Amino acid sequence: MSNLRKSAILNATPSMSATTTSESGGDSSARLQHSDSVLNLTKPSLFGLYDNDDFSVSKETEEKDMEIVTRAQENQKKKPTVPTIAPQNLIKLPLVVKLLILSGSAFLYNEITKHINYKHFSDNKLANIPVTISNIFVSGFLSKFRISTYIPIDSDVGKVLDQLLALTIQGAGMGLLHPIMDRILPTYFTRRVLSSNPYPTYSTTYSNLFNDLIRSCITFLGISYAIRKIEWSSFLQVSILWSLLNPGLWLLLDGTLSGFLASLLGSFVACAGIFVENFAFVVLYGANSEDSIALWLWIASFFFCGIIIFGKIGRGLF
Amino acid sequence: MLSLIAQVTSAVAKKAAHNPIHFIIVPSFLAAIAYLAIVDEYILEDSLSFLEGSVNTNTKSYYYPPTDSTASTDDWIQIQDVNQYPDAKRYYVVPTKFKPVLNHELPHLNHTIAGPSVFEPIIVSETAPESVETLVEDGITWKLGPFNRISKYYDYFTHALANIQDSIQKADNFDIVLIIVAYLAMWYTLIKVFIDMRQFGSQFWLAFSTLTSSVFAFLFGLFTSIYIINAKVSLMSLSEGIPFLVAIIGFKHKVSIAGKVSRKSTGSEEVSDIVAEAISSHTLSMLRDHVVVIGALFSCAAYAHRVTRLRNFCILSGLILTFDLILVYTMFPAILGLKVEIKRARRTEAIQEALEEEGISHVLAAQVAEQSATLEHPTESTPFFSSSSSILSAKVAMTIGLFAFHVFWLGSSWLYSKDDTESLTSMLSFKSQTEIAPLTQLLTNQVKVDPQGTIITIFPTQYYHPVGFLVKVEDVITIAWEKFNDAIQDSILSKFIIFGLAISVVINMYFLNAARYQVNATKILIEKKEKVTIEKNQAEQQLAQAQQKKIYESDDESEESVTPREPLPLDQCIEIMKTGNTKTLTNSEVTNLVVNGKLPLYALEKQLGDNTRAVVVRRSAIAKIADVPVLDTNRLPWKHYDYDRVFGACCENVIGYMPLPVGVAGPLLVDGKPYQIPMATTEGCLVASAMRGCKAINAGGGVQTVLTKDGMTRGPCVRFPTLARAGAAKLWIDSEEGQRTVKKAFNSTSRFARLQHIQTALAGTLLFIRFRTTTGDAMGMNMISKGVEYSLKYMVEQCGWEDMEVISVSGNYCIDKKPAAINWIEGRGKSIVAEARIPKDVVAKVLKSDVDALVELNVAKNLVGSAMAGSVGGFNAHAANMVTAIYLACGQDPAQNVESSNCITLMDKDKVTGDLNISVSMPSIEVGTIGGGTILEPQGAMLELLGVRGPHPTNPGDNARQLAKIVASAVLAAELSLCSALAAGHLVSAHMQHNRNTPAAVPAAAPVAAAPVVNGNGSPVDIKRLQEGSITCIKS
Repeated sequence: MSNLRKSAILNATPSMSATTTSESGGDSSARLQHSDSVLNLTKPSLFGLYDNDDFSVSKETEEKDMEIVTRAQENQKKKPTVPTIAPQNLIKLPLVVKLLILSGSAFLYNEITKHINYKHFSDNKLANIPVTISNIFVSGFLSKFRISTYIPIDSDVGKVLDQLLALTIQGAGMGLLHPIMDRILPTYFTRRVLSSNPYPTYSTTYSNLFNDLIRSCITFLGISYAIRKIEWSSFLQVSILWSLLNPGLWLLLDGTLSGFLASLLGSFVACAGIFVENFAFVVLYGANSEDSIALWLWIASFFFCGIIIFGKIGRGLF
Repeated sequence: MLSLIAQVTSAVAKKAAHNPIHFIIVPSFLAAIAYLAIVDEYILEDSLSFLEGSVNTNTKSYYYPPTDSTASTDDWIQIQDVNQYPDAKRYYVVPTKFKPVLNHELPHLNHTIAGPSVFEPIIVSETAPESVETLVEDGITWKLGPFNRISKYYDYFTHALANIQDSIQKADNFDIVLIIVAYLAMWYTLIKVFIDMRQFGSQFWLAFSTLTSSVFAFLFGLFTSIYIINAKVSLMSLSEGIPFLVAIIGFKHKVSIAGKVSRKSTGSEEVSDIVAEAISSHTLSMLRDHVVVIGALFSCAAYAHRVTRLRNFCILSGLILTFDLILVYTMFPAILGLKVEIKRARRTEAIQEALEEEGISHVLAAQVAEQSATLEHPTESTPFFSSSSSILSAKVAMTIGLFAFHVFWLGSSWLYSKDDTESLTSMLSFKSQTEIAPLTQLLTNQVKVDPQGTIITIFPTQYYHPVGFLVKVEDVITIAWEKFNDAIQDSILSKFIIFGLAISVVINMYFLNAARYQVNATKILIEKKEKVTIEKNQAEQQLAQAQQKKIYESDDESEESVTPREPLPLDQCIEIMKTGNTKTLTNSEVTNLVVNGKLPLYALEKQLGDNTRAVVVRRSAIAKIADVPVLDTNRLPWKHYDYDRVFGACCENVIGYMPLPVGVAGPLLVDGKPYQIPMATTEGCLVASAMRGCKAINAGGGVQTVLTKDGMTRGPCVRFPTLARAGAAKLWIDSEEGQRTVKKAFNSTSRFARLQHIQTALAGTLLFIRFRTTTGDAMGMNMISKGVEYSLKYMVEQCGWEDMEVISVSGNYCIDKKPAAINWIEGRGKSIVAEARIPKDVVAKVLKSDVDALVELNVAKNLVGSAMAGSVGGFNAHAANMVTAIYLACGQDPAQNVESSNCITLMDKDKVTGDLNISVSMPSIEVGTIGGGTILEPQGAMLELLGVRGPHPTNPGDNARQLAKIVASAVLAAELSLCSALAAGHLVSAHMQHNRNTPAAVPAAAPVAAAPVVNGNGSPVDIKRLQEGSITCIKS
């Protein structure tokens, strides 16, 4: 006998006894409790159809059921509470386009940094010598990505391509650092620190990423504007201020440990590269310790800030 | 530490959300004050910049060389330094303008010559002019002052424009690009707030108030930096820095908080709790961002304290962010709280309106709406919408708020009092930059040319305008038009005025509307509730008496001991009834009246004024009249039921209610969301069967549903005198113009009903018109009837179909509650297709069948079998079972199961995976989540179980559509289960010797068959008992 029928009998009993009490007294109803024929008399048509069927719900299926519900509820919650702005399109871009975006960003970035420095040239020649040096260092470092540094290229097209290649390498290098660190490091590192946002997934939606990207860029532009416009007393002052701002910028714009490590690593590697490259000059220049501190802070800040911004782009793209 | 901060902030936010008015108005006032102070500061800065030169720059001097010839304008030379020509005779010219005032003499000024018009005399004197502050003439006091306010704004604007142009010319190209990018980013950030907030269902207000609170923070920051820290930021750095600040900080936390609040606002929590929770959940993120930035800014300011511009701006930004943070914990929660409260109040009103459209009386609708509101938000204390007196205070508060707002908008007009006290020079100097009258022929003609040379120094024009209430009043009328013109002509100000006006009007309407609706609803409810409670008390007393009476009667004891008085004789009762005091009679007396035919049964409610008492009396009366003592017992329950809801809406001549067992099947995943489906049924196995179907479907990933159509129909029948006219009418209605005209007429009758399509059919001279409309969340038959009636009337009266005779508003072409092909083909109500994929191992394990057997069974039974039986829309196993069970449980119209059960079940085997694809297509599910039986409490509770109670808060109709989807999904589950039972039975029976339970399917045959049943595993004891049981059964 199936469980269902048993339970059906049990369920049927009270009403049976209720209807029969008036007619046949309480005693017989007690005895009727487990009788099958009563069931046959009263059971509805569906029973016939389900007769050989087993509705019994095993513990296993029951749990599975709850699992399904919890999962569904989680999915409901997970559903992007803020619709994304065409993220699918962005992520489905072909690799070439992604690289082009990176190289384009690298180009813009270089141009902007150049402008930060050029302004100083025109203003106060004496105070800008360190900036000039750092700029030369950086552009020298970046020019290592060009083939033309190793093999002479004559044609114009070749030069353009060479330039493009260098920018792409630079952009990819800076942009991929974050995604790579995200993959390598445990998930704890990729979560924003000090965050109480009830929707942790929210911060990874593309709409938000785009917002963050804009904010990062504007922050960078704001800094460059401030550097250009404000009458600084010394190069050291600017460098220290910028390097002090950088951790704040990281916490505000990025906030992931992996991002911090990536930026730190990136700027350290770049500094080391520049140091090795210009070893002789640096040793000479290092006599004035204040200037050399300012120089390294400046270069490190330049890369740190840049990697944060490129990290945003990189995470959006890859 | 952090949790402490979160607690504190949430406590503050809670307080703010609880007293939203205070927390909004106080900052508004402070902001207004700060604004005035700042405007003062920055405008003074502007005027000072005008004054940079000497006073002489505000005048223009012209020199005419010594000559005898008559002067012509061309010979006058403009000179910079008057002292170069010491011999020349000097004239001072002060052009003067009087504000035109009709019917009044202008005051007389000394040394005047006629100017271009009467109102514009020119003062020419040989001594330096002394301005006269006030003039009195003809009872009017004329006061010196700026000519009109508009031109002042215009001056500001032109000055600002000039400044910008100037700085752009000076700046580097790269800087300009940077600034432009920053401005673009700022505008993007601002607009993004509006776009983001739109996703939370707030078109404008939420975003606007978010920005407002940030603007307030900006004002406070500016105020503090100027007056307290004394670090004034120049306008230039402000315009450069603010875009960066806005774009960097953004509004994402505020948007996120608002989003969280609005997502929870439909829930049942108290408003202040929701807001507090949202705020505290964002505390850490927000503190992190703000503290980091504020810290960075202040350390910047400290480190680079010598760079004044940077320091000042850093201080200002830090202050702005600090104030922003403070406002996020105070004013922002207040705004959110207010918003949610208004939303809830509006929802109550919306429910009421929808109910009234469904033909439910106003009071009942209000009551239901209010109750549903309290159900949704049980702990709601409604801090200021709760009673009419607090509404008054809310209104006052709103007015104050509005006032503050206006002050804010037109705040600078207060400055005029200040201007008046200022010296003439500063005022003139301000005007000077733009307006110094050129040397005209008119002037040169009037000035005597001196042989020693002549100098004319022209001062800026001075304006006199009249002071005095009477004149002003008089003047206002004549000048209003002119002023209005002026205002319109001014490009900037006009927009501001219109914008400000529009905002204030909208705010007014919005708040007052909300308050007004609340007043109505609350008032009626309060009255109603008072009445009801009083009456209930009475009724309870009487019921208690009546019950006691019954007990005593059954014990054959005298009534006198319990009833206060003897039952009055019938005549006396009739007398009392005629005076309208039936209420005062006892139940037995009223029953007596009814039994003797003096009081009709249907009038009991009206006569007694108490629906529950009417039920009691009616029961005993019918028990007597029809001699059915069963009604005197409690076997048909009547207690503990809200008959107020029933009366006039759900049932008449009520004698009790019919309890039905309600089972629940679930969870069932419908489009990824789990549902527990309530079913009221007396058929055993049904719920269990559905349950099994649910399990199988869930294992396959749930049901996917598609809504293909949503439109309730009504098909009136009209007749024309001739076939030609009938045909013409059909063609007209079918034409685009006809559809459009009727649609317009129809749509004007309801807020929710929107006519989709009109279908026509001609039978002789009878024309059947099938209106199909959306009906919001109501099932919609009442709503549509109203619209149809009006549309037909409109056709007769306005569209030239005077000869059209409406035979019936319902001509059965709808077709309602009758089996018909048109609903099956065209659809009625919601048309849903639901589909599920069941993996083959689930079919075997849970359904104990196999896919091939199921598919074969479905073709043979549901398709061929139904076709053989000549079915229309009956290509299913037992859709009606589920439809009816859910309809009963959810307060739908059970009679509509006729067409709602139209369903075709299709199954096929997936060619690749071998899984089962099952679908049900139900073209005419007629459901509503508002009106009808859903207003009753138990039915409403079941809708709430499904999460579709009442109208959908944002998108009317979504709740009803969701209910239809759930019905279709439940049908799918039941179909699957039953078909697999049949298929399994088929499989099993192939292996079985006999089908021992076949008779059970036919209850009539059961008694005969029951006795010989041999229970397979029954022991002798069982068999004995079985036999006894069957004997008892047969006896009974």
